[in-house]
Amino acid sequence: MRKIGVFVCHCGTNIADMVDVEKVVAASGRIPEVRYAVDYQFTCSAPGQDQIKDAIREHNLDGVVVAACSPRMHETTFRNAVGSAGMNPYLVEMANIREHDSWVASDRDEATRKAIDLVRMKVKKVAKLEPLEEIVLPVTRRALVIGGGVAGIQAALDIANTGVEVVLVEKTPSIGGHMAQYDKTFPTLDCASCILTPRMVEAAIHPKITIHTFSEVVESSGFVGAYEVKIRKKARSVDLVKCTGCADCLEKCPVKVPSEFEAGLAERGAIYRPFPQAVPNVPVIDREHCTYFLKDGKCGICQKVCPTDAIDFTVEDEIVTEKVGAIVVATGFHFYDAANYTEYGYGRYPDVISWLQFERLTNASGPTSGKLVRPSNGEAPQTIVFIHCVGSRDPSKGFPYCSRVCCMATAKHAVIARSKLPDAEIFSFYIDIRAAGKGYEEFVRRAIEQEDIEFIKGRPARVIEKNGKLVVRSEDAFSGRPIEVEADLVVLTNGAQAQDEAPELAQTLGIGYDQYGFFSELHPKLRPVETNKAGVFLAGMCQGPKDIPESVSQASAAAAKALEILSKDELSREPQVAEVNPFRCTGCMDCMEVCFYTAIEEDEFMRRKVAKVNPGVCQGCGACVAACMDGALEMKIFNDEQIYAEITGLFAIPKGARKAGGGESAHG
Amino acid sequence: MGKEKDRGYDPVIVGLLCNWCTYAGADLAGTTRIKHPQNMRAIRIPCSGRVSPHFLFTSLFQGADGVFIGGCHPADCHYTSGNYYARRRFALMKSLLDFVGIEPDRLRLEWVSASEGDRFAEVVTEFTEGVKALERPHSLKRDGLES
Amino acid sequence: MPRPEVMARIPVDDEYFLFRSCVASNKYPGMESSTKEVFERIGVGLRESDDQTCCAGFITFTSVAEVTATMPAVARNLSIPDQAGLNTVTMCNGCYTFLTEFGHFLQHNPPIMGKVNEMLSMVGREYTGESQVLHMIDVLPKLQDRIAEQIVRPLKGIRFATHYGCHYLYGFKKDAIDDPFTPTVVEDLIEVAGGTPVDYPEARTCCGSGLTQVVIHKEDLSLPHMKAKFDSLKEADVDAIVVVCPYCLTILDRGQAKMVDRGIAQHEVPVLYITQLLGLAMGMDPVKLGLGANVTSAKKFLDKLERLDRSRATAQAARGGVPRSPQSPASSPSGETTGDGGEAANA
Repeated sequence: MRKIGVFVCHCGTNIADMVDVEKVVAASGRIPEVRYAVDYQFTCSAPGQDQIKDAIREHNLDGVVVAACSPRMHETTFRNAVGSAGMNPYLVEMANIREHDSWVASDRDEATRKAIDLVRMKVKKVAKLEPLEEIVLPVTRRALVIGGGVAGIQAALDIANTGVEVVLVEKTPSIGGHMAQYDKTFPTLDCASCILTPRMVEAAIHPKITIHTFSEVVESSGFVGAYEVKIRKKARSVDLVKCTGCADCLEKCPVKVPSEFEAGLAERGAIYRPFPQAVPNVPVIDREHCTYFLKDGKCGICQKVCPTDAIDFTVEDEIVTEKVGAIVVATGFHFYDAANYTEYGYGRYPDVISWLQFERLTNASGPTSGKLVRPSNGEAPQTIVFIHCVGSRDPSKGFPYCSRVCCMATAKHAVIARSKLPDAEIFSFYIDIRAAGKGYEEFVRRAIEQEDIEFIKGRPARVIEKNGKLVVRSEDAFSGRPIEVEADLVVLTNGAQAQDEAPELAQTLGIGYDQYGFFSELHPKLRPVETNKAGVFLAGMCQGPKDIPESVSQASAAAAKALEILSKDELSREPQVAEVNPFRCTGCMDCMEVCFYTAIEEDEFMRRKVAKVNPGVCQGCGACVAACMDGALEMKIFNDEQIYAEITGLFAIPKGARKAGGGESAHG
Repeated sequence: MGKEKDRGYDPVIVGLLCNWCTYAGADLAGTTRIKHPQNMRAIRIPCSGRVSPHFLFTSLFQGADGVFIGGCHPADCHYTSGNYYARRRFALMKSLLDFVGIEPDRLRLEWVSASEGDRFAEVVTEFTEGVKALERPHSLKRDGLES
Repeated sequence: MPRPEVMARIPVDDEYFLFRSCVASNKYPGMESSTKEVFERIGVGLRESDDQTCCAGFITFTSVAEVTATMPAVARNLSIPDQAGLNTVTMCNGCYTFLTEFGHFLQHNPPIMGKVNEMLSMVGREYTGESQVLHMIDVLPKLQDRIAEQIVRPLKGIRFATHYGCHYLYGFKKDAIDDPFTPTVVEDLIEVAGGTPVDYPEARTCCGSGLTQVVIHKEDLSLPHMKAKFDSLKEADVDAIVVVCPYCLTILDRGQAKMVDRGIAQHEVPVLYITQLLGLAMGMDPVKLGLGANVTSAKKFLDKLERLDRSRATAQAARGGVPRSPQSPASSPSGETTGDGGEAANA
């Protein structure tokens, strides 16, 4: 039988005023398992803790119940205390006779009876506890960052600058993301590439960063501290080492397809680099359009002109395996397809353009060298209309959420347009202006008051082409009248949308995602960059719409959280985890269904399928234990028999206790 | 004896409170000194999703008059979905109680967050009153079931 | 472009239940007669029922009764095709809307459905919701090949504008046969009939009925609105406008006369229902198609059609063939020449 000590705290008068502490001590002493029971003024104080330590040594205790405040307050204190006295720290329980009793009761007898019950319940539980050790997990001190946009680059640099190795995986041929396409950033109108490209280069030359571009994560296994990730490096067809970036091949390619980077406003070849500052500055062959691949080896001009023999048509996709301890997901977003709004004529009328097309049209490195013109005829527009919320805040057609950045982006676009065309008439149709951010509201005021942009509250019904003009029909919500603007250029500010592949990646990594495909943070307030999967963190738009400063801050936060793991060789954690008893397990795998953390996997035991809990991944919620119909799942600290002990303990009043007038309850 | 009579039917209630929300809510009720009936004896569990129907029946067989399960509000579960499992099991446990002839009102599931000390006191009071209103122990206890 | 996923779920049956409409069957009966004639030609049966009543839409949108009060009437109408085991074709956007939406409402509100069926059981009926409600322009594209076979008088060189009306394509979003802003189903049918579909800037502008109805009657708003539409039609130089909703037809047809009357504009564009257009191309007599009921004269358009017939006849004669002439009111549909004149000449 366990030899348990009970230590009843007065907490000054907090407990003692309402609970007859002496009676509690006396009643505790009558419980068979209890070897020693004593009270003290402040059990959490140093002398109070010493009292416990001394008693452990003196009475050879192997279990302790501290009847005091909430375990949420002092459980760790007392675990450490008994630990230092040589007892296993997981053999301590606290009976909460302060918050749950003395502070909320109105009757001293009643409070005393309750305290006695609570102590007895805990004594019975402690009798069933087993000594445990902290779980120690080795850590692979490397990080994986998925997504090479501004958030991914930031996270990679922050981690790498502490000396930890980083593997950065980017889907497209170059890192940089959407920010590389932008002209300027709000509200300061900094040139986007002027602030981004140095960071891209920094990442590229960083000795601790390995970049895999044109690559995708295809498989992930393992758990916090020890992930093994398989990455598909798509066949680039151009050797990253041999290529000098001379670009001779680009000019000679006979194929012309719309350039993704230029948002369809310019063409690229089948061999291309997205943009001149691409990192790495090595072209890639788009095999879907390349004549060599479409016509069985005819063409091959690029190979002939390449001075360094860098082009190789025979290269195939390659799978590389990286071992990492933590993962930062920063896969970004894509723009909502404005063509879904057929009423605005995007895709039908060449002068109805998207956000990204506007960025490219005003960008000095864009297809018009920064001249803002109508795509239809190359002339400067006299009247420009911006339409907000295309695809956002529209449950009937697009998405119900606000994309957050578009109000500011549109104000920025309007101000840029004004600087290029001082005499143009510029209108901006909005539902509401959402300009919460440092300097944001001021920027919008500037657009309205100083830049003479006409902001009209109203959601345009449609855009029709009439006599060479684009007629924008809307309501003016303030005057309550219909309004028509004859425009030369209409810019649709299309909102942000989760990446199409996001759910697939979420499933690969075992993290959650919402109905739109944005990845789910562990807690919306307190754990905004963590995921349900320990060691996987989120940064940037992939978690939800946010602007560049927010994405960058979240990236740094994700890096800090990743480093919390990667700064140590080993991870230790509470042993409150589930465990499968393979003898009882029938392999139904119901437990796997309820496990939110994908901590349960199939295993084989005596040539049978059984479940197995990965203690590195398990978070100790116990959902699987309750779901197991065979009683095969056990749980540390909160096992069935430990909880039963607590329940039955409530009613297990020692014989003769009532007669002895110990104040025990009459139930049972 | 006289004292016992005064109390009338004084039920014993087993509380199964999730560590992250309701247990903390109960702590807050204490910290803010909100007095409420003291019939409940709380057991701390990691999550309401940990609650097995066995806990309910063990409690009732042992002599409890009511069982209170406390979890995090929907969408607030520390483990994301444990409270949803609890909610589904709760529906089954309710009908099971009815089936075996125990008043389903002896079981209650409530969402109480860590910031809702007042609400904790409120729902516990309500539940205690509800069980008291049944006026006598449930059939299993009346028939003198041995623990 | 018709949506493939919607096209895929539209059934092609040997027989449909024809849901008659107050406007298409009474005010402008040519819509109903042309529909029946066209379906007969292409060998698809249409069954009617004397038990059918008004779709009950009016009761709802004039707000004279609660929405739930119209449910038994709607369910009763829907029970007719249900019990006959037929899918329904409606000629009108309004009938389509009310039958579809109220059917949906009933199916998603079991208590009301139960009550409604309790009432129906008193008259020996039951609404199950098993049969589908379809719009005329859901069904016609599926029968396009059979229609093409029956075209004997291709409307070559005639310029047709379209007007789809708001209550089908806009209201049913992704469930409608086509996108409300870039639809082509009617254009496709015009092409099948040999005509030339013409786009015009105000194609998606509403007919104005929302503002001219009995209850609202805001002519000062609706007529300028309509004028913009017809000005745009005039610029596009169209011979006729094709609609798929009897209500739009009424408004666009009578509205022109009203604009003339109020001295707002002078327009004369005949308005045809889709089956009237197909009927013409199948060689039916304009009189039988009921074009005479139109307030806006179709004379100019019909003259152009006749000129077309004559030049076609001349061309055929020049090639020595027997013209496959449109049937005259005297001749019966079966009296048509079956042989191809051109082929005979070549032989």
